[in-house]
Amino acid sequence: MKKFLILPLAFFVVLVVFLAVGLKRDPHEIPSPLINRAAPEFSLPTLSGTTPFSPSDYKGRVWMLNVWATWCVSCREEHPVLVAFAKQIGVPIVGLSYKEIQPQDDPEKKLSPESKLNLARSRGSVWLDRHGNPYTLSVMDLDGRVGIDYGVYGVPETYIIDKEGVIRYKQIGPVTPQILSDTLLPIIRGLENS
Amino acid sequence: MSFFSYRNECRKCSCLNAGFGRMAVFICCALFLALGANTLGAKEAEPMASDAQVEARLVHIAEELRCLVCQNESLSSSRADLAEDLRAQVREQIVKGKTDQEIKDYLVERYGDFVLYRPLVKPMTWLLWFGPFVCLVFALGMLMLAIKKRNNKIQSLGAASQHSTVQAHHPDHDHDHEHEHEHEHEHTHDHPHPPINSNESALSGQKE
Repeated sequence: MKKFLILPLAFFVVLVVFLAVGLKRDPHEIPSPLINRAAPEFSLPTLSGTTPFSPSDYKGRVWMLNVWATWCVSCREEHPVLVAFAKQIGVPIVGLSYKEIQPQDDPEKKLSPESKLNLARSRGSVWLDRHGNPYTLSVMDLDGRVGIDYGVYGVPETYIIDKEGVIRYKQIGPVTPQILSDTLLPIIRGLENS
Repeated sequence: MSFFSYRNECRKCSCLNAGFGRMAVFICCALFLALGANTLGAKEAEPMASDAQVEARLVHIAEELRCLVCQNESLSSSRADLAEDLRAQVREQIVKGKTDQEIKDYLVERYGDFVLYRPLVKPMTWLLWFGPFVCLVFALGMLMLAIKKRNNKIQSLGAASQHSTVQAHHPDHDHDHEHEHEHEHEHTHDHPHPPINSNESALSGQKE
């Protein structure tokens, strides 16, 4: 081969490799800057309890935060997995009911915060009764502010938080049995033993 | 691998749930861009439009930020629910008197550098920012080298042709090295000026 062709060819091969890798990557998976940072603090009412929940309540424990909503279609794909594996996961799973009341549910913005909360609670519990409840408890993030603090930009998303209250992993999109056994469970076990 | 369900990603397209989601959202976003740039403008300043100054700053800031749902839209033009929420956050912080940089930092803290339309200059992005210039310098360097090489060759050919015209009819000219030394020896017999391109040299080679 002619010598002068080698360099452009090498460039081309590198380019093809980059493009090929790019094809396999999902542009919707944006790495979270919150990994290895303290989980943002919040205090939100729960779905069925009377006292609000804060992440600091779980200091000293490994736990999972799973963002869900009854309107979220992918959550229906994910939910049975969480229900089936809740015992195997073995750590508390906190549900974050994200923006249960959508703008179109209340187009004229007439609902008071209390009635919004009540509506969201009743919808959420009906849904969990029907599909099963893998959550230790669920917190109600009606306006999505806690979601923004956690960098939520789609539902479902799942966070693993360690004993010191630091976010160690973020799963974007539904948890599948494979993701659970290959990724999430090893991380959880590792954090539990540390 | 289809996931990412945010029901009202881009209002008109409650998509992204199914396998076709990404394609659909792409088409929707494209349609939006095609149809609605102007109508969207009206939507931007919906609540609290009272304070025009706040709104102007909001648009100014939000244009520099990316919507995470419709990723090719800026935060100021996207109609995704999340974009609306984030605009509300930005608005709130403007009212609180935060600087543009503080507001951007607030969003970067949560969503990463990806929310910035203009990538930051830092070691991670050096290749992105300076790569093209490095390539340019490299290409120019290669070009200079090639030109220099060619000049040298022309000069040596000139010298060789002078030399060879002196002993042009030397009987034991070495024909075995014809191909290796095409330029140096062979063609200089026929051409007082050295051949410029390889076609020419091939031709003159045949003549020999």
